[in-house]
Amino acid sequence: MKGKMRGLWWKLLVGLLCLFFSLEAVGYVIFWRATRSGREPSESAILAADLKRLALENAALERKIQALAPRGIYIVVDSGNNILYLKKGEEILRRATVSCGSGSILEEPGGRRRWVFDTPRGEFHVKTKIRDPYWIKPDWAFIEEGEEIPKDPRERVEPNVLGDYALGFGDGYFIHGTLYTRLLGRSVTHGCIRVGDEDLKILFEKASIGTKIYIY
Amino acid sequence: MVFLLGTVLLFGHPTQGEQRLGEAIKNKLLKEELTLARTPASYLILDLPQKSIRLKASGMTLREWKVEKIRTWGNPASLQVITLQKKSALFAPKRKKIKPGNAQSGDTFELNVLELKDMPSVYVLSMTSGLAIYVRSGSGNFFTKMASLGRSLKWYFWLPLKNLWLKLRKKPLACLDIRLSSPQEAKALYWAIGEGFRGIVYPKN
Repeated sequence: MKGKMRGLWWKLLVGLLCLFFSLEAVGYVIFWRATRSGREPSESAILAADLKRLALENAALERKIQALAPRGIYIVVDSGNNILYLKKGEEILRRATVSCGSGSILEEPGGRRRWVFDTPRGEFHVKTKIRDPYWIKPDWAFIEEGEEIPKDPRERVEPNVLGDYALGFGDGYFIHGTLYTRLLGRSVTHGCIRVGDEDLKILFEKASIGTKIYIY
Repeated sequence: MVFLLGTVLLFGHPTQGEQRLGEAIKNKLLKEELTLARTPASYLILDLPQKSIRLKASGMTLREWKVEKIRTWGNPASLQVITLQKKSALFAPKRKKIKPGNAQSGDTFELNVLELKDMPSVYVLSMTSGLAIYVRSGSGNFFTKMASLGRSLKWYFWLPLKNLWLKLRKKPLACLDIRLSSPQEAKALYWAIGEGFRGIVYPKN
């Protein structure tokens, strides 16, 4: 009786394994057929197209794409590694260690407002160039410090915290100096890009209004 | 010798039909890229023949990741712009919350921030076209290697069954498994792209 049961279990196990591997095999066959037939555009459209014309059109499209790249000086910021590059074409003119956004969240007590301190990503351009900038403290700066938001705008002005220069690239974001130079290379800011004094001076001299900034 | 030459002539070069297909696909994708390059957002080019992932803006490559190994299930190239719908990881990074009034300053504070090192090195990118991109790295610590092994088991045993199931439900399955050279590279890719990020997949020849 025991032997019979054992034999039955074995048969069941072998049967299940056969079923499993058969299903696997069917899955693989479907995959193989899909990779052979799933190509677009349709054959008739391709046959109608002239190979030489297509090759010429592709070369023209590649040139059009390349022509979109900036011609003069531009800035690239690698926010993950906290590195800023001042570039011209493929040449790196200056490599600077910077500090980008901390990615932290601040919620106003009562939950009315919420800020995410990320450095924005994408393509921007220098909109303003300021010497001896003053920091106009936004609401979040007071909330973060647990202070009351002042009614008098003069109480928001804080000099000597943004370094000697600032390059604005929109929505209140700046490339500026810092008092906390030992934190350069770490993601600690509220979204702005902090740069060391020497690098900032060169950036300010080389970049002009309209200079492209690429942040990733 | 004659046999070798014949083999090269027969199989070594693409036929005119295949060349036309290649150029037509390239044409379609270049047109798509041109529209992306004209926007102020960065975009991603997943180049399967070149085994590379390029982060581009204004037609210019900002960062490139070399891919060590690519595996595919189904047809991953939809020949149109695809958008990143969701990034998922077993241990997804979480943003830190700042407690108001608890701001630290000076020399003695602990940094409570989200950085590149906090990003995962094994994760899945779900695209709007239905394509799932599994990203992992070749080397790493014990957990990364175990996750990579689990991914391989899933790839060879689970996906064929899923493929069959989806075929019965008349839904396509498209998966890409990408192995990058190091966990740092995988983390950098996770960092660089966010939900809503757009890209193009160049198919294998």
